[in-house]
Amino acid sequence: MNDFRRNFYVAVLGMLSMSMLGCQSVNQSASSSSSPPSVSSPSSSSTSTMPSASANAGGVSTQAELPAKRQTRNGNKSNPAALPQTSQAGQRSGVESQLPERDVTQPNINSGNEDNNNVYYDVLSRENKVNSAQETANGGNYSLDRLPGLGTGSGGVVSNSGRDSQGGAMTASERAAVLDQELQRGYEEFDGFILGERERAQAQNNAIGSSGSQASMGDGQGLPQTLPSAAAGAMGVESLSRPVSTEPRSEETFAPPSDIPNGRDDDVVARQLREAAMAESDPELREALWDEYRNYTGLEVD
Amino acid sequence: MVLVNCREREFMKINLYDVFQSVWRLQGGNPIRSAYRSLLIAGFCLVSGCATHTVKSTSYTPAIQATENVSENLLLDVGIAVFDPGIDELSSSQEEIVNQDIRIAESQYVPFLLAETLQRTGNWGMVRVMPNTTSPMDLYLSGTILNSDGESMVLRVTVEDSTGERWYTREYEEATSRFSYEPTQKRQNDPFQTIYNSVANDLLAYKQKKVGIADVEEIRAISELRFAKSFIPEAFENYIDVDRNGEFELIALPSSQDPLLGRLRTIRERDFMFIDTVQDYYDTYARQMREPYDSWREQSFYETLELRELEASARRRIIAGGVAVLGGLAAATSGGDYVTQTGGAFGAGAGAYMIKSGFDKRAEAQMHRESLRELGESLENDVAPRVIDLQDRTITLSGTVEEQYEQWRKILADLYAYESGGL
Repeated sequence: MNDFRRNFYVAVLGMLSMSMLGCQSVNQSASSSSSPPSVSSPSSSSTSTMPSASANAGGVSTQAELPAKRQTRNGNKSNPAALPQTSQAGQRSGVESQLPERDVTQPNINSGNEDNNNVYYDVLSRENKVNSAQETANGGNYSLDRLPGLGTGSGGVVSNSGRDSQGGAMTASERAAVLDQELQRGYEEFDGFILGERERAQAQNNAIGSSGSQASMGDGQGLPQTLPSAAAGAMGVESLSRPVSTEPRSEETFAPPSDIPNGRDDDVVARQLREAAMAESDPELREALWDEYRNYTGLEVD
Repeated sequence: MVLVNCREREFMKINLYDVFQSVWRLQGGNPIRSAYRSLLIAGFCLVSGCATHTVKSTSYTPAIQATENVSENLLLDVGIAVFDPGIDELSSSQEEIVNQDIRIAESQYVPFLLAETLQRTGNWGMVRVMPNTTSPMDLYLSGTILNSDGESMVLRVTVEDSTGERWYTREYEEATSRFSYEPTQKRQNDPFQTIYNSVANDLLAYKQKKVGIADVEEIRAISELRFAKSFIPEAFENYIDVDRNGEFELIALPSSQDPLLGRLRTIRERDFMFIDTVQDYYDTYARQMREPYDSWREQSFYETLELRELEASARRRIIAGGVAVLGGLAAATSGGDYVTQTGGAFGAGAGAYMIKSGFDKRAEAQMHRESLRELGESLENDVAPRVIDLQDRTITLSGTVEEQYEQWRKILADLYAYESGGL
């Protein structure tokens, strides 16, 4: 019975390790099979982990190419004769020749040993990446420190297993890809933050415009309300040529048409068009703005 | 010829030179002439004492739009710094009536109106009030408010490009008329719109005259590289250099396919978004400020005018009175006959009366000064919280963005190291 419990615990621990490490390291398969992690032959480990790596490597590299790269890289390190397989592989191995121990001596993911030479971990720790171990397990999803106002990260420390598993098996280009993804995530967070801030500022602006227009009408002048930009009024054209509106500008937003995607990949201009279209209360103008958005983003215009 | 604006606000023309000439010609030893001269001087001083000499310009200078089509990538982006309120440059007489908080509020309001004006001309790319100096723009305008009292405005504007070359520093002065405060005028234009239009026109004229397409391309390249260098100095330090004059020189251009440059362009777009957001803050601020500020300027306009008239009148009366007293005393004591002595005594009396009225005017001016101060305090209560709010929001957002940039800097540095084989 004790043996059964021990085996059960070992099996559970193994499964946990598998899920936390995303199966990116060739040596994780050893721990999942309840044997202590050890230096394994590159060929056998890469072969045995390919399917799981394909399933869990998301966010780092394409599923198809990641195992192949690792195979090449590990092969180079363990077998110098394999270096000149491709010129790119040769360059990579040359760049990373300083890191042989990380690949050869894989620490026990459960023992908490730290590989201080792990460059990837260094990068992350320098940037104070503080994500939960769960995030790490889900494909190395380290996010940038969150912007104030958007809430902070979930706290905690990058798990040892996360560092070990990822640091030991990534090429420079893969690390660059990871960092690129960090940048992308940073862009998205930044865009969300800035757009939120702009919406707030514009809502405040509109509110002032509304009260301004009411005050203006209260004067009994009966003249068109001053447009927001008429404070400068350099040309005196815009304020005179625009249609007169005595109603305060609506702050409500209008849902996009069904053919408009979620806009997650929009660039700045597209976002501005989307924002303007969603804020436009005049249906005709709104549709024109959506058409402009479609044109700009390459969608089919009705 | 001078336009004389009397208290009744009726314009009339007086040739001052002719008046002085006619008085001065009455010379010679004739005692009657001497007494007549004293009386004439006193009379002239009485007349002139009620007048102030104010040159008014009612001409409107429109902002010029360039007629030629310019490719979008050749439009220069313009950043305008928050102006120096010019408090350090106030004269002692100005210090009495200038409210410092209002000046600080104006130092944020004026650049916003200038930015709006420049943007509307269509001669430039993006024109924004800059929250800080960390984002390099193609052109950078900075300025100082030397005077602003509702009646006149004096600005000193300096323009330099991203290479660090100073284009020029010029002073702009405009005295507005009361017509600018008519409700219909106020709705269309700022009372001092002409001064902003003049700055815009000068900038365009300079660019058209002295800045060629190659210069524009270099300026734009340098502003982009300066931004890139601020993120990854080691990657971009070989593209630009600083010469002995502190100006940036373009040494080489990076490949347009450079992935690092591509990333930095993406980040720069975000930087522009940040600047646009700050622009929204300024827009809100300007709209909040406009109504009370215009109201203050209108009242200040009349008060300033009154004050200026009274001060000038008091000064003239005191001087003329002093001269008349001296002349009268001289005539009274050294006059050879009764008529001269009587005339002298009469002149001295008139002079004394004029001095007294001068002091009365001065006291009246002091009342207007107090009134101006109260007006300023009233506006200060209205705008000071808004200025603080604007500054708070801008500083908070800048800090947040800078924090994010700092993280991107680290990631980019690592990316550069990986991609250049440093790691």
